[in-house]
Amino acid sequence: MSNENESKILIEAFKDEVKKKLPFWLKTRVTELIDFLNELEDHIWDKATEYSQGKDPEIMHVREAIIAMGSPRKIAKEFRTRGTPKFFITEELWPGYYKGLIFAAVVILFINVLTMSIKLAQPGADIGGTVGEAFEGTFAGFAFAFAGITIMFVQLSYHGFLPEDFKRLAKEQEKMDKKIKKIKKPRKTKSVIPTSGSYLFEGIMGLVAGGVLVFYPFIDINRAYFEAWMPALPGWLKLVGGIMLISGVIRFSQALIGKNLRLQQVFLTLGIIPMCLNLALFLQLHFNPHLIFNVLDSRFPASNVGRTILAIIIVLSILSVIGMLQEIKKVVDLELKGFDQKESDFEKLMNGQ
Amino acid sequence: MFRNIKTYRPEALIESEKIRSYVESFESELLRGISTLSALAIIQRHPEEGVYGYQLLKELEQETQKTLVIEEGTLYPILRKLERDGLLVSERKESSGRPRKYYELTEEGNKLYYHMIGFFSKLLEAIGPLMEIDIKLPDKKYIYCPNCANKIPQIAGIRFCNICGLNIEGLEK
Repeated sequence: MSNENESKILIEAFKDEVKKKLPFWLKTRVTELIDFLNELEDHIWDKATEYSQGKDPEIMHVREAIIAMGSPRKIAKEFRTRGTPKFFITEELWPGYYKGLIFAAVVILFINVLTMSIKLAQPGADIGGTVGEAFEGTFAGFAFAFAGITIMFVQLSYHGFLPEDFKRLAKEQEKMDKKIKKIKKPRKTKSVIPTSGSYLFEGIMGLVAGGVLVFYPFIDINRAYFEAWMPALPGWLKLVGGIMLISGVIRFSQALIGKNLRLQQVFLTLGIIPMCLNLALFLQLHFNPHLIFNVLDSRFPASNVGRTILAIIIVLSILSVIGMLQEIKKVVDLELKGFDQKESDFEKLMNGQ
Repeated sequence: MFRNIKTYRPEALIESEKIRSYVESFESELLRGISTLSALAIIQRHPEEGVYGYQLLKELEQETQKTLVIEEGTLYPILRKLERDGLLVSERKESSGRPRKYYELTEEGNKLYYHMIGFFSKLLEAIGPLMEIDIKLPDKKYIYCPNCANKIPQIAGIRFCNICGLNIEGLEK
Protein backbone atom coordinates (compact mmCIF):
# COMPACT_ATOMS: atom_id res chain seq x y z
CA MET A 1 0.00 0.00 0.00
CA SER A 2 1.33 3.47 -0.89
CA ASN A 3 2.34 5.91 1.81
CA GLU A 4 -0.42 8.35 0.86
CA ASN A 5 -3.09 5.65 0.97
CA GLU A 6 -1.92 4.48 4.38
CA SER A 7 -2.02 8.07 5.63
CA LYS A 8 -5.53 8.52 4.27
CA ILE A 9 -6.72 5.35 6.00
CA LEU A 10 -5.22 6.56 9.27
CA ILE A 11 -6.89 9.96 8.96
CA GLU A 12 -10.23 8.38 8.04
CA ALA A 13 -9.98 6.12 11.09
CA PHE A 14 -9.30 9.16 13.30
CA LYS A 15 -12.26 11.01 11.80
CA ASP A 16 -14.48 7.98 12.39
CA GLU A 17 -13.34 7.82 16.00
CA VAL A 18 -14.12 11.53 16.53
CA LYS A 19 -17.49 11.10 14.82
CA LYS A 20 -18.44 8.25 17.14
CA LYS A 21 -17.73 10.32 20.21
CA LEU A 22 -19.56 13.46 19.04
CA PRO A 23 -22.87 14.30 20.69
CA PHE A 24 -26.03 13.08 19.05
CA TRP A 25 -27.28 16.54 17.99
CA LEU A 26 -24.15 17.21 15.91
CA LYS A 27 -24.29 13.82 14.20
CA THR A 28 -27.75 14.66 12.95
CA ARG A 29 -26.46 17.82 11.22
CA VAL A 30 -24.88 15.96 8.36
CA THR A 31 -23.49 18.95 6.40
CA GLU A 32 -21.97 20.54 9.49
CA LEU A 33 -20.55 17.22 10.61
CA ILE A 34 -18.86 16.53 7.27
CA ASP A 35 -17.50 20.07 7.16
CA PHE A 36 -16.12 19.75 10.70
CA LEU A 37 -14.44 16.43 9.98
CA ASN A 38 -12.95 17.80 6.75
CA GLU A 39 -11.57 20.75 8.68
CA LEU A 40 -9.86 18.37 11.10
CA GLU A 41 -8.39 16.51 8.12
CA ASP A 42 -7.07 19.76 6.58
CA HIS A 43 -5.40 20.54 9.89
CA ILE A 44 -3.79 17.10 10.12
CA TRP A 45 -2.33 17.47 6.60
CA ASP A 46 -0.98 20.96 7.42
CA LYS A 47 0.58 19.73 10.65
CA ALA A 48 2.03 16.61 9.01
CA THR A 49 3.54 18.80 6.26
CA GLU A 50 5.12 20.95 8.97
CA TYR A 51 6.60 17.84 10.61
CA SER A 52 7.96 16.66 7.24
CA GLN A 53 9.49 20.13 6.70
CA GLY A 54 7.47 20.92 3.62
CA LYS A 55 7.96 17.59 1.85
CA ASP A 56 5.22 15.02 1.24
CA PRO A 57 4.37 13.74 4.73
CA GLU A 58 5.24 10.18 5.66
CA ILE A 59 2.88 7.97 7.66
CA MET A 60 4.83 8.72 10.86
CA HIS A 61 4.29 12.47 10.34
CA VAL A 62 0.56 11.91 9.94
CA ARG A 63 0.54 9.78 13.08
CA GLU A 64 2.33 12.53 15.03
CA ALA A 65 -0.07 15.14 13.65
CA ILE A 66 -3.02 13.06 14.82
CA ILE A 67 -1.52 12.74 18.30
CA ALA A 68 -1.09 16.55 18.41
CA MET A 69 -4.80 16.94 17.66
CA GLY A 70 -5.65 15.53 21.11
CA SER A 71 -7.90 12.60 21.89
CA PRO A 72 -11.19 12.22 19.99
CA ARG A 73 -12.96 12.14 23.35
CA LYS A 74 -11.52 15.53 24.32
CA ILE A 75 -12.45 17.08 20.96
CA ALA A 76 -16.00 15.77 21.27
CA LYS A 77 -16.19 16.96 24.89
CA GLU A 78 -15.84 20.57 23.70
CA PHE A 79 -19.23 20.21 22.05
CA ARG A 80 -20.85 18.81 25.17
CA THR A 81 -20.39 22.06 27.07
CA ARG A 82 -23.06 23.51 24.78
CA GLY A 83 -25.89 25.13 26.75
CA THR A 84 -25.83 27.40 29.78
CA PRO A 85 -26.17 25.66 33.14
CA LYS A 86 -29.26 26.38 35.20
CA PHE A 87 -29.41 23.90 38.07
CA PHE A 88 -29.11 20.55 36.28
CA ILE A 89 -31.13 21.62 33.23
CA THR A 90 -29.63 24.12 30.81
CA GLU A 91 -31.15 27.56 30.50
CA GLU A 92 -31.99 26.84 26.87
CA LEU A 93 -34.03 23.75 27.72
CA TRP A 94 -35.63 25.33 30.80
CA PRO A 95 -38.68 26.80 28.97
CA GLY A 96 -39.33 23.41 27.33
CA TYR A 97 -39.04 21.68 30.70
CA TYR A 98 -41.38 24.21 32.28
CA LYS A 99 -43.92 23.87 29.45
CA GLY A 100 -43.62 20.07 29.60
CA LEU A 101 -44.45 20.08 33.31
CA ILE A 102 -47.41 22.42 32.81
CA PHE A 103 -48.71 20.35 29.89
CA ALA A 104 -48.40 17.11 31.89
CA ALA A 105 -50.10 18.75 34.90
CA VAL A 106 -53.02 19.96 32.75
CA VAL A 107 -53.47 16.54 31.12
CA ILE A 108 -53.32 14.72 34.48
CA LEU A 109 -55.74 17.18 36.07
CA PHE A 110 -58.11 16.94 33.10
CA ILE A 111 -58.15 13.12 33.14
CA ASN A 112 -58.69 12.95 36.91
CA VAL A 113 -61.41 15.63 36.93
CA LEU A 114 -63.15 13.92 34.01
CA THR A 115 -62.96 10.53 35.74
CA MET A 116 -64.22 12.05 38.99
CA SER A 117 -67.14 13.79 37.25
CA ILE A 118 -68.27 10.60 35.50
CA LYS A 119 -68.08 8.63 38.74
CA LEU A 120 -69.95 11.30 40.68
CA ALA A 121 -72.68 11.34 38.02
CA GLN A 122 -73.45 7.68 38.73
CA PRO A 123 -76.33 6.99 41.16
CA GLY A 124 -75.27 6.31 44.73
CA ALA A 125 -71.72 7.53 44.17
CA ASP A 126 -69.49 7.83 47.23
CA ILE A 127 -68.64 11.55 46.98
CA GLY A 128 -65.92 11.62 49.63
CA GLY A 129 -64.21 8.49 48.35
CA THR A 130 -64.38 9.60 44.72
CA VAL A 131 -62.94 13.05 45.43
CA GLY A 132 -60.22 11.45 47.57
CA GLU A 133 -59.35 9.05 44.76
CA ALA A 134 -59.17 11.97 42.31
CA PHE A 135 -56.76 13.82 44.60
CA GLU A 136 -54.71 10.69 45.06
CA GLY A 137 -54.61 10.06 41.28
CA THR A 138 -53.69 13.68 40.56
CA PHE A 139 -50.91 13.66 43.14
CA ALA A 140 -49.48 10.34 41.92
CA GLY A 141 -49.71 11.52 38.31
CA PHE A 142 -47.92 14.78 39.14
CA ALA A 143 -45.18 12.94 41.01
CA PHE A 144 -44.65 10.51 38.13
CA ALA A 145 -44.70 13.21 35.45
CA PHE A 146 -42.36 15.44 37.44
CA ALA A 147 -39.84 12.63 37.99
CA GLY A 148 -40.02 11.37 34.40
CA ILE A 149 -39.82 14.77 32.69
CA THR A 150 -37.04 15.98 35.02
CA ILE A 151 -34.90 12.89 34.39
CA MET A 152 -35.41 13.26 30.65
CA PHE A 153 -34.46 16.96 30.57
CA VAL A 154 -31.45 16.52 32.88
CA GLN A 155 -30.12 13.86 30.53
CA LEU A 156 -30.85 15.94 27.41
CA SER A 157 -29.09 18.93 29.03
CA TYR A 158 -26.09 16.78 29.86
CA HIS A 159 -25.87 15.76 26.21
CA GLY A 160 -25.99 19.37 25.00
CA PHE A 161 -29.39 19.32 23.32
CA LEU A 162 -30.86 22.69 22.41
CA PRO A 163 -34.56 23.36 21.63
CA GLU A 164 -33.88 23.78 17.91
CA ASP A 165 -32.45 20.26 17.79
CA PHE A 166 -35.92 18.78 18.39
CA LYS A 167 -37.49 20.82 15.59
CA ARG A 168 -34.62 20.03 13.24
CA LEU A 169 -34.73 16.32 14.09
CA ALA A 170 -38.45 16.20 13.31
CA LYS A 171 -37.91 17.96 9.96
CA GLU A 172 -34.95 15.76 9.03
CA GLN A 173 -36.87 12.62 9.92
CA GLU A 174 -39.66 13.79 7.62
CA LYS A 175 -37.18 14.42 4.78
CA MET A 176 -35.51 11.06 5.38
CA ASP A 177 -38.83 9.24 5.24
CA LYS A 178 -39.58 10.86 1.89
CA LYS A 179 -36.12 9.99 0.57
CA ILE A 180 -36.37 6.39 1.72
CA LYS A 181 -39.60 6.03 -0.20
CA LYS A 182 -37.92 7.34 -3.37
CA ILE A 183 -34.53 5.69 -3.35
CA LYS A 184 -33.39 2.32 -2.18
CA LYS A 185 -30.40 2.93 0.05
CA PRO A 186 -27.08 1.21 -0.70
CA ARG A 187 -26.02 -1.36 1.88
CA LYS A 188 -23.91 0.04 4.71
CA THR A 189 -21.73 -1.67 7.29
CA LYS A 190 -24.23 -3.11 9.72
CA SER A 191 -24.02 -1.68 13.21
CA VAL A 192 -24.17 -4.10 16.15
CA ILE A 193 -26.82 -2.04 17.95
CA PRO A 194 -29.50 0.32 16.57
CA THR A 195 -28.96 4.08 16.30
CA SER A 196 -29.44 6.44 19.26
CA GLY A 197 -32.43 7.91 17.42
CA SER A 198 -34.37 4.65 17.41
CA TYR A 199 -33.44 3.97 21.05
CA LEU A 200 -34.61 7.49 21.95
CA PHE A 201 -37.91 6.85 20.16
CA GLU A 202 -38.37 3.44 21.83
CA GLY A 203 -37.48 4.95 25.21
CA ILE A 204 -39.95 7.83 25.00
CA MET A 205 -42.69 5.52 23.68
CA GLY A 206 -42.04 3.05 26.53
CA LEU A 207 -42.14 5.81 29.16
CA VAL A 208 -45.34 7.34 27.80
CA ALA A 209 -47.22 4.07 27.16
CA GLY A 210 -45.99 2.54 30.45
CA GLY A 211 -46.96 5.68 32.36
CA VAL A 212 -50.47 5.63 30.88
CA LEU A 213 -50.98 1.97 31.79
CA VAL A 214 -49.61 2.31 35.33
CA PHE A 215 -51.77 5.32 36.09
CA TYR A 216 -54.65 4.14 33.91
CA PRO A 217 -57.52 6.19 35.24
CA PHE A 218 -60.34 4.98 32.98
CA ILE A 219 -60.72 1.74 34.89
CA ASP A 220 -62.39 3.72 37.66
CA ILE A 221 -65.03 5.10 35.32
CA ASN A 222 -66.97 1.88 35.32
CA ARG A 223 -65.60 0.00 38.27
CA ALA A 224 -68.74 -2.12 38.64
CA TYR A 225 -68.36 -3.48 35.11
CA PHE A 226 -64.70 -4.34 35.55
CA GLU A 227 -65.26 -5.80 39.02
CA ALA A 228 -67.96 -8.08 37.61
CA TRP A 229 -66.26 -9.20 34.43
CA MET A 230 -62.56 -8.42 34.61
CA PRO A 231 -61.62 -8.02 38.28
CA ALA A 232 -57.92 -8.57 37.69
CA LEU A 233 -57.61 -6.28 34.66
CA PRO A 234 -56.37 -3.12 36.49
CA GLY A 235 -53.66 -5.19 38.17
CA TRP A 236 -52.58 -6.74 34.88
CA LEU A 237 -52.49 -3.36 33.17
CA LYS A 238 -50.32 -1.91 35.92
CA LEU A 239 -48.00 -4.89 35.64
CA VAL A 240 -47.65 -4.53 31.86
CA GLY A 241 -47.24 -0.75 32.25
CA GLY A 242 -44.53 -1.24 34.86
CA ILE A 243 -42.61 -3.55 32.53
CA MET A 244 -42.94 -1.04 29.67
CA LEU A 245 -41.72 1.73 31.98
CA ILE A 246 -38.61 -0.23 32.97
CA SER A 247 -37.96 -1.04 29.32
CA GLY A 248 -38.48 2.63 28.34
CA VAL A 249 -36.02 3.87 30.98
CA ILE A 250 -33.41 1.37 29.76
CA ARG A 251 -33.87 2.31 26.07
CA PHE A 252 -33.80 6.04 26.89
CA SER A 253 -30.57 5.56 28.81
CA GLN A 254 -29.08 3.59 25.90
CA ALA A 255 -29.92 6.45 23.53
CA LEU A 256 -28.08 8.91 25.74
CA ILE A 257 -25.10 6.68 26.45
CA GLY A 258 -24.30 6.55 22.72
CA LYS A 259 -21.18 4.57 21.89
CA ASN A 260 -19.89 3.84 25.34
CA LEU A 261 -19.10 0.14 25.02
CA ARG A 262 -19.21 -0.98 28.64
CA LEU A 263 -22.29 1.01 29.58
CA GLN A 264 -24.13 -0.22 26.47
CA GLN A 265 -23.28 -3.78 27.47
CA VAL A 266 -24.57 -3.15 31.00
CA PHE A 267 -27.83 -1.66 29.71
CA LEU A 268 -28.26 -4.39 27.09
CA THR A 269 -27.99 -6.90 29.95
CA LEU A 270 -30.43 -4.87 32.03
CA GLY A 271 -32.75 -4.87 29.00
CA ILE A 272 -33.16 -8.62 29.47
CA ILE A 273 -34.93 -8.01 32.81
CA PRO A 274 -38.16 -6.56 31.35
CA MET A 275 -38.08 -9.30 28.70
CA CYS A 276 -37.90 -11.93 31.46
CA LEU A 277 -40.78 -10.21 33.22
CA ASN A 278 -42.77 -10.27 29.97
CA LEU A 279 -42.02 -13.95 29.55
CA ALA A 280 -43.07 -14.66 33.14
CA LEU A 281 -46.31 -12.80 32.46
CA PHE A 282 -47.01 -14.76 29.27
CA LEU A 283 -46.19 -18.09 30.95
CA GLN A 284 -48.43 -17.23 33.86
CA LEU A 285 -51.29 -16.66 31.42
CA HIS A 286 -50.40 -19.79 29.47
CA PHE A 287 -50.42 -22.09 32.52
CA ASN A 288 -53.51 -20.43 33.98
CA PRO A 289 -55.77 -20.18 30.93
CA HIS A 290 -58.83 -19.77 33.14
CA LEU A 291 -57.64 -16.17 33.70
CA ILE A 292 -58.50 -15.53 30.05
CA PHE A 293 -61.33 -17.98 29.51
CA ASN A 294 -63.28 -16.92 32.59
CA VAL A 295 -63.46 -13.41 31.29
CA LEU A 296 -63.71 -13.86 27.56
CA ASP A 297 -65.85 -17.01 27.33
CA SER A 298 -68.47 -15.43 29.50
CA ARG A 299 -68.46 -12.26 27.43
CA PHE A 300 -68.16 -13.92 24.03
CA PRO A 301 -69.58 -17.43 24.58
CA ALA A 302 -70.01 -18.27 20.91
CA SER A 303 -66.60 -17.10 19.78
CA ASN A 304 -63.13 -18.60 19.94
CA VAL A 305 -61.45 -15.42 21.17
CA GLY A 306 -59.95 -17.01 24.30
CA ARG A 307 -58.15 -19.70 22.33
CA THR A 308 -56.91 -17.19 19.75
CA ILE A 309 -55.44 -15.07 22.54
CA LEU A 310 -53.81 -18.17 24.02
CA ALA A 311 -52.16 -18.86 20.65
CA ILE A 312 -50.95 -15.25 20.50
CA ILE A 313 -49.50 -15.65 24.00
CA ILE A 314 -47.52 -18.70 22.89
CA VAL A 315 -46.12 -16.74 19.93
CA LEU A 316 -45.28 -13.78 22.20
CA SER A 317 -43.49 -16.11 24.65
CA ILE A 318 -41.35 -17.49 21.82
CA LEU A 319 -40.61 -13.94 20.60
CA SER A 320 -39.58 -12.93 24.14
CA VAL A 321 -37.07 -15.79 24.28
CA ILE A 322 -35.73 -14.82 20.83
CA GLY A 323 -35.50 -11.18 21.98
CA MET A 324 -33.50 -12.19 25.06
CA LEU A 325 -31.12 -14.28 22.97
CA GLN A 326 -30.66 -11.35 20.57
CA GLU A 327 -29.77 -9.02 23.45
CA ILE A 328 -27.20 -11.54 24.73
CA LYS A 329 -25.81 -11.81 21.18
CA LYS A 330 -25.47 -8.01 20.99
CA VAL A 331 -23.49 -7.98 24.27
CA VAL A 332 -21.14 -10.65 22.89
CA ASP A 333 -20.87 -8.93 19.47
CA LEU A 334 -20.00 -5.63 21.14
CA GLU A 335 -17.23 -7.35 23.05
CA LEU A 336 -15.86 -9.05 19.96
CA LYS A 337 -16.36 -6.42 17.22
CA GLY A 338 -17.04 -3.14 19.00
CA PHE A 339 -19.81 -0.98 17.54
CA ASP A 340 -18.62 -1.82 14.07
CA GLN A 341 -15.42 -3.07 12.45
CA LYS A 342 -13.79 0.35 11.95
CA GLU A 343 -13.31 1.15 15.64
CA SER A 344 -10.74 -1.55 16.18
CA ASP A 345 -9.08 -0.58 12.88
CA PHE A 346 -8.32 2.89 14.25
CA GLU A 347 -6.63 1.47 17.32
CA LYS A 348 -4.63 -0.95 15.18
CA LEU A 349 -3.54 1.83 12.84
CA MET A 350 -2.52 4.17 15.64
CA ASN A 351 -0.51 1.38 17.17
CA GLY A 352 1.22 0.97 13.83
CA GLN A 353 0.12 -2.63 13.34
CA MET B 1 1.04 23.92 32.44
CA PHE B 2 3.45 21.02 32.71
CA ARG B 3 5.54 20.69 29.60
CA ASN B 4 8.37 18.46 30.70
CA ILE B 5 7.31 16.37 33.64
CA LYS B 6 10.18 13.88 33.28
CA THR B 7 12.77 16.39 34.46
CA TYR B 8 11.06 17.10 37.78
CA ARG B 9 12.35 15.62 40.99
CA PRO B 10 10.32 12.78 42.54
CA GLU B 11 9.54 14.90 45.61
CA ALA B 12 7.97 17.64 43.46
CA LEU B 13 4.36 18.42 44.29
CA ILE B 14 3.08 17.38 40.87
CA GLU B 15 4.13 13.80 41.57
CA SER B 16 0.80 13.62 43.38
CA GLU B 17 -1.95 12.61 40.96
CA LYS B 18 -4.45 14.67 42.95
CA ILE B 19 -2.38 17.85 42.73
CA ARG B 20 -1.61 17.33 39.06
CA SER B 21 -5.22 16.84 38.15
CA TYR B 22 -6.22 19.86 40.29
CA VAL B 23 -3.69 22.11 38.55
CA GLU B 24 -4.63 20.84 35.11
CA SER B 25 -8.31 21.33 35.75
CA PHE B 26 -7.68 24.86 37.13
CA GLU B 27 -5.61 25.79 34.10
CA SER B 28 -8.11 24.35 31.69
CA GLU B 29 -10.95 26.35 33.33
CA LEU B 30 -8.89 29.53 33.23
CA LEU B 31 -7.82 28.96 29.65
CA ARG B 32 -11.28 28.24 28.29
CA GLY B 33 -12.37 31.89 28.05
CA ILE B 34 -8.88 33.19 27.34
CA SER B 35 -8.50 30.79 24.40
CA THR B 36 -11.71 32.08 22.85
CA LEU B 37 -10.60 35.67 23.34
CA SER B 38 -7.13 35.00 21.92
CA ALA B 39 -8.57 33.19 18.91
CA LEU B 40 -10.82 36.19 18.27
CA ALA B 41 -7.82 38.52 18.63
CA ILE B 42 -5.95 36.63 15.92
CA ILE B 43 -8.98 36.52 13.62
CA GLN B 44 -9.50 40.24 14.18
CA ARG B 45 -6.05 40.87 12.71
CA HIS B 46 -7.16 39.43 9.37
CA PRO B 47 -10.22 41.46 8.49
CA GLU B 48 -9.88 41.09 4.71
CA GLU B 49 -8.71 37.57 3.93
CA GLY B 50 -9.68 35.77 7.15
CA VAL B 51 -7.64 33.09 8.85
CA TYR B 52 -7.79 29.28 8.89
CA GLY B 53 -7.46 27.06 11.93
CA TYR B 54 -3.89 25.89 11.48
CA GLN B 55 -2.66 29.40 10.68
CA LEU B 56 -4.48 30.72 13.75
CA LEU B 57 -2.76 28.21 16.02
CA LYS B 58 0.65 28.98 14.54
CA GLU B 59 0.21 32.72 15.07
CA LEU B 60 -1.05 32.15 18.58
CA GLU B 61 1.94 29.95 19.34
CA GLN B 62 4.37 32.57 18.04
CA GLU B 63 2.69 35.54 19.72
CA THR B 64 2.49 33.89 23.13
CA GLN B 65 5.88 32.16 22.91
CA LYS B 66 4.08 28.82 23.26
CA THR B 67 2.62 29.82 26.65
CA LEU B 68 -0.98 29.74 25.53
CA VAL B 69 -1.40 26.31 24.01
CA ILE B 70 -4.78 25.24 22.70
CA GLU B 71 -4.99 21.53 22.08
CA GLU B 72 -5.21 21.50 18.31
CA GLY B 73 -8.38 19.47 17.85
CA THR B 74 -10.28 21.46 20.44
CA LEU B 75 -9.85 24.74 18.52
CA TYR B 76 -12.41 23.72 15.92
CA PRO B 77 -15.34 23.17 18.30
CA ILE B 78 -14.56 26.65 19.73
CA LEU B 79 -14.62 28.20 16.24
CA ARG B 80 -17.85 26.34 15.43
CA LYS B 81 -19.50 27.71 18.55
CA LEU B 82 -18.41 31.26 17.72
CA GLU B 83 -19.77 30.81 14.22
CA ARG B 84 -23.08 29.45 15.51
CA ASP B 85 -23.32 32.39 17.91
CA GLY B 86 -22.92 34.79 14.97
CA LEU B 87 -19.50 36.20 15.93
CA LEU B 88 -17.74 34.57 12.99
CA VAL B 89 -18.46 33.71 9.38
CA SER B 90 -16.52 31.16 7.41
CA GLU B 91 -15.78 30.44 3.80
CA ARG B 92 -13.95 27.59 2.09
CA LYS B 93 -11.16 28.89 -0.14
CA GLU B 94 -8.27 27.32 -1.99
CA SER B 95 -4.84 28.17 -0.57
CA SER B 96 -1.48 26.62 -1.56
CA GLY B 97 -3.32 23.95 -3.52
CA ARG B 98 -5.50 22.89 -0.60
CA PRO B 99 -9.06 23.93 0.30
CA ARG B 100 -9.19 25.62 3.69
CA LYS B 101 -11.88 27.11 5.83
CA TYR B 102 -11.23 30.80 6.50
CA TYR B 103 -12.84 32.54 9.44
CA GLU B 104 -13.67 36.25 9.67
CA LEU B 105 -15.31 38.36 12.34
CA THR B 106 -18.83 39.54 11.63
CA GLU B 107 -19.74 43.15 12.35
CA GLU B 108 -21.46 42.05 15.54
CA GLY B 109 -18.52 39.80 16.39
CA ASN B 110 -16.14 42.72 15.98
CA LYS B 111 -18.16 44.86 18.40
CA LEU B 112 -18.43 42.03 20.91
CA TYR B 113 -14.72 41.36 20.61
CA TYR B 114 -13.98 44.92 21.74
CA HIS B 115 -16.35 44.53 24.63
CA MET B 116 -14.78 41.21 25.68
CA ILE B 117 -11.24 42.52 25.34
CA GLY B 118 -12.20 45.69 27.25
CA PHE B 119 -13.75 43.69 30.06
CA PHE B 120 -10.72 41.39 30.24
CA SER B 121 -8.29 44.35 30.22
CA LYS B 122 -10.10 46.16 33.02
CA LEU B 123 -10.28 42.93 34.98
CA LEU B 124 -6.53 42.41 34.63
CA GLU B 125 -5.89 46.02 35.60
CA ALA B 126 -8.08 45.62 38.68
CA ILE B 127 -6.62 42.36 39.91
CA GLY B 128 -3.04 43.23 38.87
CA PRO B 129 -2.04 44.82 42.21
CA LEU B 130 -3.40 41.79 44.08
CA MET B 131 -0.93 39.60 42.27
CA GLU B 132 1.88 42.10 42.00
CA ILE B 133 1.46 42.43 38.26
CA ASP B 134 1.81 45.81 36.65
CA ILE B 135 -0.84 46.31 33.98
CA LYS B 136 -0.71 49.45 31.89
CA LEU B 137 -3.69 49.95 29.62
CA PRO B 138 -3.33 52.08 26.46
CA ASP B 139 -5.51 54.85 27.87
CA LYS B 140 -4.48 57.41 25.30
CA LYS B 141 -5.66 55.34 22.37
CA TYR B 142 -8.79 53.89 23.93
CA ILE B 143 -11.37 54.68 26.52
CA TYR B 144 -13.12 51.96 28.50
CA CYS B 145 -16.85 52.30 28.95
CA PRO B 146 -17.44 52.88 32.69
CA ASN B 147 -20.67 50.89 32.47
CA CYS B 148 -19.73 47.75 30.52
CA ALA B 149 -15.93 48.05 30.05
CA ASN B 150 -16.26 48.15 26.26
CA LYS B 151 -12.95 49.17 24.65
CA ILE B 152 -13.66 52.22 22.48
CA PRO B 153 -11.09 53.94 20.23
CA GLN B 154 -10.64 57.62 20.98
CA ILE B 155 -11.93 58.91 17.67
CA ALA B 156 -13.87 62.13 17.26
CA GLY B 157 -17.56 61.63 16.68
CA ILE B 158 -18.13 58.56 18.90
CA ARG B 159 -20.77 59.60 21.39
CA PHE B 160 -22.24 56.35 22.64
CA CYS B 161 -20.92 52.97 23.70
CA ASN B 162 -22.12 50.60 20.98
CA ILE B 163 -22.60 47.77 23.47
CA CYS B 164 -24.56 49.31 26.36
CA GLY B 165 -25.56 52.63 24.77
CA LEU B 166 -24.02 54.81 27.51
CA ASN B 167 -23.26 58.39 26.53
CA ILE B 168 -19.47 58.61 26.67
CA GLU B 169 -19.03 62.23 25.63
CA GLY B 170 -16.53 64.02 27.83
CA LEU B 171 -14.76 60.85 28.93
CA GLU B 172 -11.85 61.32 26.51
CA LYS B 173 -8.41 62.00 27.95
